[in-house]
Amino acid sequence: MHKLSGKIILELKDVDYTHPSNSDASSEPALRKINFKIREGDSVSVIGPSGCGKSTLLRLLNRMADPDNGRIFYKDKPLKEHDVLNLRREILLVPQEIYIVPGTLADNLKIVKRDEEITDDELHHVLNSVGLGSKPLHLDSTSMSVGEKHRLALARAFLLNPKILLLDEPAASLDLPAARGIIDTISGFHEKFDNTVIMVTHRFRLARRIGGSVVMLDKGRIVETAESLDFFRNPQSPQAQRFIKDAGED
Amino acid sequence: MALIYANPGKWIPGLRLQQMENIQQLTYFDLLWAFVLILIIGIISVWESLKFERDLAIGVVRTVLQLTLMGYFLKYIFKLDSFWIILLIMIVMLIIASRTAQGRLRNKKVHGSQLLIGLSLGVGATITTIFAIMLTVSAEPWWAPQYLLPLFGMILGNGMNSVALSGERLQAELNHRRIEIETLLALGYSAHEASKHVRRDAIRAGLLPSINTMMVVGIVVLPGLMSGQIISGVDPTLAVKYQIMVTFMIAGSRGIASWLLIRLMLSRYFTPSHQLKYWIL
Ligand SMILES: Nc1ncnc2c1ncn2[C@@H]1O[C@H](COP(=O)(O)OP(=O)(O)O)[C@@H](O)[C@H]1O
Ligand SMILES: [Mg+2]
Repeated sequence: MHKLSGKIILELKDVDYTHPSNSDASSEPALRKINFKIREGDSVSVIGPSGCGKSTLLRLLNRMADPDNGRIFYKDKPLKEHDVLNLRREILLVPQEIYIVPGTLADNLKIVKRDEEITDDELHHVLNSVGLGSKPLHLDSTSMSVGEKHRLALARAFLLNPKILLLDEPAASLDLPAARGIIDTISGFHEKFDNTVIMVTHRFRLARRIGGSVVMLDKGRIVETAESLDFFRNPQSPQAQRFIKDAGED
Repeated sequence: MALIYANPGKWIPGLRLQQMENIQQLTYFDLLWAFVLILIIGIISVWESLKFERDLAIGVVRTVLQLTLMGYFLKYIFKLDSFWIILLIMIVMLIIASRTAQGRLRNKKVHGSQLLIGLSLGVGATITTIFAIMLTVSAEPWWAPQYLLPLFGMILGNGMNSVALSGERLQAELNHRRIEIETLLALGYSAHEASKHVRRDAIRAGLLPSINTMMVVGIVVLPGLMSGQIISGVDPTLAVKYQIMVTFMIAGSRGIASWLLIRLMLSRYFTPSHQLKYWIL
């Protein structure tokens, strides 16, 4: 369990979001009346079945999109009052789908800093921290495995050392042992730098492994928030109970 | 083949009309022969399910009708001798060209794209035409329709292809590179920086035909205007000078129109807060 005494760094108040659509058919809201607070240094797992709004929620936090209603505060200031480009480097989103630059491993890391040079030492260092230490910098990035690509995405994020790290399914489509490896890398980073980590996953085992607190979404609503240990031992909402039971069977 | 290339020259009245009697005559039978080529495209279209047959048929009918009517129309306009009528015709030409280019965009969800296309085409064609007027033989008056209309038409036609190619490419690249753009935005890149590759590829697509033409012009391709002039008895070295000028002008209008369109259109895909409007992709 992580520091519970930290200051509130992020707060959502009555946030609604509906994906805009060009057709006239009004679509269902992806998020409804979302309220929660995140403390500095906490690690939060956002869980829930596929399509419940997890990715949408993350995208609101670094302003890839803005809520239709409600407000989001970062460091007690409305999100919109921060400079958006700086904000996105402080609240960093690692999207689920990983963009690989055609080129070398080094090319792929260097997109993180547009103006500043990054030394090879820094690159080696960050590759070590994500378990890619044995890979040469000139490695052809297209030859990397899915797991390695996930680690590359983490390495990019670690280079920026954000205040808040938003991870969208950081171990998607990996088998459980490989996924656990990724989660442990994230935990290591979190403990070392005391950043706030918000991780989206639809696999409750990964949420349990990273610890901290849990927010469970269902059909765009928060159905339960709890400390990780309590949540998995004693889920309160029927949705959470079903979610854990279903996941336990596969 | 030379005849087919030469054909458009016949319709360009900027040539010395008094020499038209010397022009090699083209019969309707010759045209039928050329039509065989269209049939071949039709067969390819059916064979490869390009779904081009309908457009092709309409295109053939329109080519014949429009050009024939244009011939008579031009003859009439030249007699009228009015600047305002010429200007009006040019505006109508611009509108038709914009609509045609717009029709080729697969995604019509971008608000006001018709206007953006018209604007880019208009600016590109106008700037280039002003250059042309300043450069060409001092016509009397400067807007003499025998020179202005065919010139403007040629510039506009190329510009239209260019914006259609660029616009089409822009939409394809935005879809294709959505993950790239959003990853870069999420790393704190501005919309302008994040769409650099999209912009590059889209502008290039509009300019490429011009660059390719410049590489082979005079070797593989004998341009219509030049062939027409030579056939009608103009000194080949003079015809060549005209052709060089026209080639540069076409490249210029293509470049300006594509660049402007892509700049304007890309801005429609992002909010001021550097968010990609993914719902109009
Ligand atoms: N780009 C989009 N356009 C329209 N609707 C979307 C888009 N992305 C997600 N949605 C809808 O929003 C809801 C939540 O999606 P998402 O946040 O991706 O869920 P999750 O990440 O939990 O699987 C779903 O109903 C989904 O269909
Ligand atoms: Mg998702």
